[in-house]
Amino acid sequence: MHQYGVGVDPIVAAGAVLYFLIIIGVGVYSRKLASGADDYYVAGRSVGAFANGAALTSTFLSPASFLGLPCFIFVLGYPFWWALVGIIAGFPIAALMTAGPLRKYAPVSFTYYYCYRYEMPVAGRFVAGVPTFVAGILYVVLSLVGTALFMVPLLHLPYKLSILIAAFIVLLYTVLGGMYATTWNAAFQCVVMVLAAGIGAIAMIVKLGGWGHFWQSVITTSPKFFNMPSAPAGVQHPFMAMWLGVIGFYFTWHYGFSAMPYTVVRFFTAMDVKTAKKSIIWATFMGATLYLALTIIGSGARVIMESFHPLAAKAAPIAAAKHKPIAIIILVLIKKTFGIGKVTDYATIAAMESIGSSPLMAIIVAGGLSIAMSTVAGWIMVLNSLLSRDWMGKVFKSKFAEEKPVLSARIWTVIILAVCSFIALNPPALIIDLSGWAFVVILASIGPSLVLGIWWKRATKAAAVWTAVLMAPATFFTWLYAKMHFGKPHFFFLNKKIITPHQFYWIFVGFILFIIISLMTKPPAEETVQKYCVELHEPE
Amino acid sequence: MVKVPKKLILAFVILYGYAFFWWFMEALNPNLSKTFIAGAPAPTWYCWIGALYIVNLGVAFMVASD
Repeated sequence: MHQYGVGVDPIVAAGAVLYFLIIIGVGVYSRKLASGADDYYVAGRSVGAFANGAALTSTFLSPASFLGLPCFIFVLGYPFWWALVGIIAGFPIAALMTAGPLRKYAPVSFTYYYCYRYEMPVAGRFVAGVPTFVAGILYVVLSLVGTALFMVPLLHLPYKLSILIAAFIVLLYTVLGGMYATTWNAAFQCVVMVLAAGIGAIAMIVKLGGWGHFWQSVITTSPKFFNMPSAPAGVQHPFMAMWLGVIGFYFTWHYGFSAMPYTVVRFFTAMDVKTAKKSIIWATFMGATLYLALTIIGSGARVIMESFHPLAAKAAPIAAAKHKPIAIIILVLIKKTFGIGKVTDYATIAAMESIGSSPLMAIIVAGGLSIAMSTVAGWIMVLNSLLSRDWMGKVFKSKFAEEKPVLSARIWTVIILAVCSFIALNPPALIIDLSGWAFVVILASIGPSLVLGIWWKRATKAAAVWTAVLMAPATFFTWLYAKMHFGKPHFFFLNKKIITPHQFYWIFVGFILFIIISLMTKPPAEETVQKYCVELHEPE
Repeated sequence: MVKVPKKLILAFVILYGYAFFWWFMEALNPNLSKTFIAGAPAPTWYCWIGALYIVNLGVAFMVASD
């Protein structure tokens, strides 16, 4: 059914098979280590700084980074670089803001802090758990689709088979090795994806004639590439026509690292507070290297596709007729060929294909699968502890969940992956789009109670509950309204002339609302504040 | 309010200050003449964003140290 490209490149297939064998091997090797609840959920709190930091990076960065960011860069131009650097700038802030204090508290599950800091041992598991559950399901589905977006075009596998292969392999290593296998595989996956992006960026610079020629051709092809909102000649894309757009992307992506459940649980797995903080150094290093490489790939993606991609000649007359860049038409043609995902999802693959190197494509497919599968596994570990330990064990008092925590978590892992795979087999378009909302709903609804709970003695239970209850529907409605009404969720929902990436203003509204409600309601007990706020900041 | 560590405040000041400084500089100089780095026509100006990755790493070392 696929038209362009000839069969499967055996070198690319070998790269994917080797990658699969390694991560399955890690799962099998670590199965004996994951015997107790602490082993299964938090890897026995024994993970060193490098492995934890690398795992943090690969888990936090979703397949959208590897698939679509290069497209966003060549479409949005230099202003979007700031969004990428904003993400990395969030890493060191998180080290002190949440990583250190939360590792000192050392809970097992993401919701524990909410339960005890806000004196609601049952309700807390829902206040923090419901937004986490919804966002987690969306992320797992999106990431499974992401694995298929590498396997279908590069390994020529059918879409549904690709989803099932990815789900089965993640299932295998998360069920067998729990957080041990997830962590070690995520660390390995981080190295693979950083190498893939780094080698891809260098190969692209070489293909375009070196550093000087590379940038010359970028500016020749896209004269407005480097323009910021104040440039008299205008910018490449309306999203970057306002400083609010640039700053909004920077802030939203920057703050996410501190409060997202699948990164926060990584702080629990470190050996100690010092290791949790040091893991941030490695996370910053690996993340910065990856994004620097992706920035280069994104900047040169249009040039290299239009110069060397096999579909460039076919795309040129269509592009001329439609007054669109040839690179965009190339991506449209690839999307039509494979029929899955969005046009932007093929940017990295198309740019790398243009270089014409089989070994390069082998490491690109391994890198792409790495970033997608590590996110699936990271979220699966958050969701299985939420469903098994928090909801079944602590809320519904299931004896099975309490007495056999590891078996219960393994069963829930199977159920979650089965449900997410089923959705991913025929994903409604809206589900894929909602992943952008999933990010903001967490940050606006339960982010303030996490950060302020750690840093503000006066933070109250009422504020935690009402911020979650009000922010979740508010973010959902405005995100969806902007998406349906204006076509993109990055326009302010009441006025298309205002750019508010992901409706990010709700994060500030969430914090302000939380503070106002806290000041108006009864403060928590002194011993609660002492244990879950003050003591978290005292030196060990 | 719990006493906020000086390192956290410093990290915020460096990372947001760095970004805002360059945004202001770019806003105030919309017709900036382009200079060259290593033979590339990418403005020197824009290389500073690359340097932010290095700054981040420095801040990460700072916050992780005792």
